[in-house]
Amino acid sequence: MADDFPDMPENGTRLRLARDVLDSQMVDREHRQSGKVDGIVAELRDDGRLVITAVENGLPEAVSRVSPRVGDWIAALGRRWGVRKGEVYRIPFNKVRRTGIEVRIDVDAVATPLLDWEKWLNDHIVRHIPGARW
Amino acid sequence: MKPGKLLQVALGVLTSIGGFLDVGAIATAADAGASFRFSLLWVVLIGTICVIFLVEMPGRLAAVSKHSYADAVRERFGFQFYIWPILAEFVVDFLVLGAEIGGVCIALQLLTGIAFHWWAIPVALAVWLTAWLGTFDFIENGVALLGLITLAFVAGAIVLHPPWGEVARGFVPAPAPHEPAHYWFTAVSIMGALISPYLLYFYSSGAIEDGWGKQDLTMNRLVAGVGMSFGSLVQMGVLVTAAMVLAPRGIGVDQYGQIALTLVGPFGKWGYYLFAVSLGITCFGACMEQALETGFIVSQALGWNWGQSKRPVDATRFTMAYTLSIAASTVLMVVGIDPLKLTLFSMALTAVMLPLVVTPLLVIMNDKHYLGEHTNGWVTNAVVGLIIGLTFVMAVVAIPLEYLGGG
Amino acid sequence: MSALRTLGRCWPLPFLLCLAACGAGSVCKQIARSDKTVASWAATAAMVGQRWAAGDVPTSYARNTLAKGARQMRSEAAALARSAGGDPLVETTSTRYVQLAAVLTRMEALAGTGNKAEVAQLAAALPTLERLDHRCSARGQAQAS
Repeated sequence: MADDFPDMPENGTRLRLARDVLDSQMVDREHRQSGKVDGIVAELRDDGRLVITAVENGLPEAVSRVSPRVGDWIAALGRRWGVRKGEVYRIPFNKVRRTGIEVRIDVDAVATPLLDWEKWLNDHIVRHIPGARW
Repeated sequence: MKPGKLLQVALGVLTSIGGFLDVGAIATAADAGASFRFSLLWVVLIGTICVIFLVEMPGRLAAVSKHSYADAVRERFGFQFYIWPILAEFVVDFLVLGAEIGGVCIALQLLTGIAFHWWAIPVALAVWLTAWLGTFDFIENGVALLGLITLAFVAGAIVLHPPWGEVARGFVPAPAPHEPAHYWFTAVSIMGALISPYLLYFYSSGAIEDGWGKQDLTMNRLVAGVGMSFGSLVQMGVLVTAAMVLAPRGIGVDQYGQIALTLVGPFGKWGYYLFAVSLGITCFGACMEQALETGFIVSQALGWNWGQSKRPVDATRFTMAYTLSIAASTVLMVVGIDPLKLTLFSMALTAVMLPLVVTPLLVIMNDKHYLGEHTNGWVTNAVVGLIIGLTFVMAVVAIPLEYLGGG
Repeated sequence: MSALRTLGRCWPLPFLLCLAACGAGSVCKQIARSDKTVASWAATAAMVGQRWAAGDVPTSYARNTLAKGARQMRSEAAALARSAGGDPLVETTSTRYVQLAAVLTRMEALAGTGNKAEVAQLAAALPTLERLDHRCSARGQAQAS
């Protein structure tokens, strides 16, 4: 599977996180649109290295980049009424296969919270309306 | 060019003509003609040139990068920037969609005599049903081809035998002949109606829906250039008929019913029905585009699965986005807000937010990351720069002018 | 009908009086603004009445437009009275707007009964108004010199 996406930069090559990862469109194994990269997670290791560990998807994360307070409100609203309970979903960075205009992730989005809202709306509203499958 | 491609170009040009008018273009052009005769034709001309460039570029972006303009703005400038034009666009979309629904309601009122606000919910349902069941091709091409009926305005302008010398002079920018605040407010409104931000988002999304690639770049250029040029003739037709029928009588444009007289003048009874049908069809088409555009921008901003040609079950968030958009805007007409006042106000508001929407285009269209060898040439960049300058000026003067001269 | 002809003939009178005796230029400007709206609706009613009588526009449209015109005229009269009430010129002007609105209301009622001849007559007799802009500015220049 990893061979399907051979475009990750090799060791020692510069990766432009802000330009080529953050806010980019994620597409999964089946080339389904799976949300945007709303955040990037990095960990400071004991040896002083900063390691990129994950990309994040979730509206609270995106909004908190504009205003942390509003981001917190949206997270609270999500916990109360949201399908994803306000949680931000993290995709381990070793699942990221390609960066650039699109970020390809080696996951099946259907099996992750990335498409929870899509599924919920389908199950509870859309598929019950005549013509939804036409 | 192969015959198949020629046919596509022809279809694209025809749909550009048929889809050019909407409630804003009709109201602003009629107001301009009624108040200032032919003096504001130059604004329609300049606006059309701007639109040609502003429509060609997102089409090229989508064809080469397979990304829409909304995608590209978020990716290139980040969520912190993009949230602002998106929020502004929601507000404008809400108002403009309400005005377009109002336009269809007014058309039905003219045809049936039943007050427009009673038609709001049936019209909204018809718009939603068409979006729910229709494909992008049907919506873009079918409705727009029906919109060719608006050529009645061009025919009306010719039949009225305007003084062509004076019409020609109207294409030369000139100071206000009278009421300068109203003159410049009308000019800004015409530009706001023409250079509509939704064009950028909708056109690029449409190019992706249609599966455009690099092989379609010439077609894109032709449709933008030829289609918009011919389309603007229809708007000029509205202005000229208003100048010939309303202005000599001192009839101002305070409600859509007065604009109906522009075609009654040359065509009598048929003109009345032609106007009503033209208004109804063009506004219905604009409703579709506006509603879908809301779905496009929110889906593309947040990375959702989207596409009018997809079944609703395959793009549920996109579908719900345009459904909620239609429902929200319908309220404006249900409560009886005057559609004409709403139109003119939303055109002025559009002018205010234009710089936020258009400025990123200059950066993106020069980004080889997206466009490879198809980035802007210096001419296009110069024109876009001028357009951006113009939008900043409009943004600053729009609201003060509305207060001083908007009526 | 004779009342309408009198209305039409006397129409310039309040504005000549304004020109001669306006205490504040702003009163002339307010009247000029209201005149423009009232003139627009009078002209609309004239065209709609004539076209309805000719069978070019449906009755519902004619009635709606005439009713709207009458409402706008009354609204202008009320707004003028509110903004400069007590001024005799404003009162005269407001009264004339209300009288004109009554004509439009009559036309609307006649359209409801299908009386094309009388609607056409009333439409033809609707007065046209010259706008006051130049009078206000001329008066201003006269004051300055």
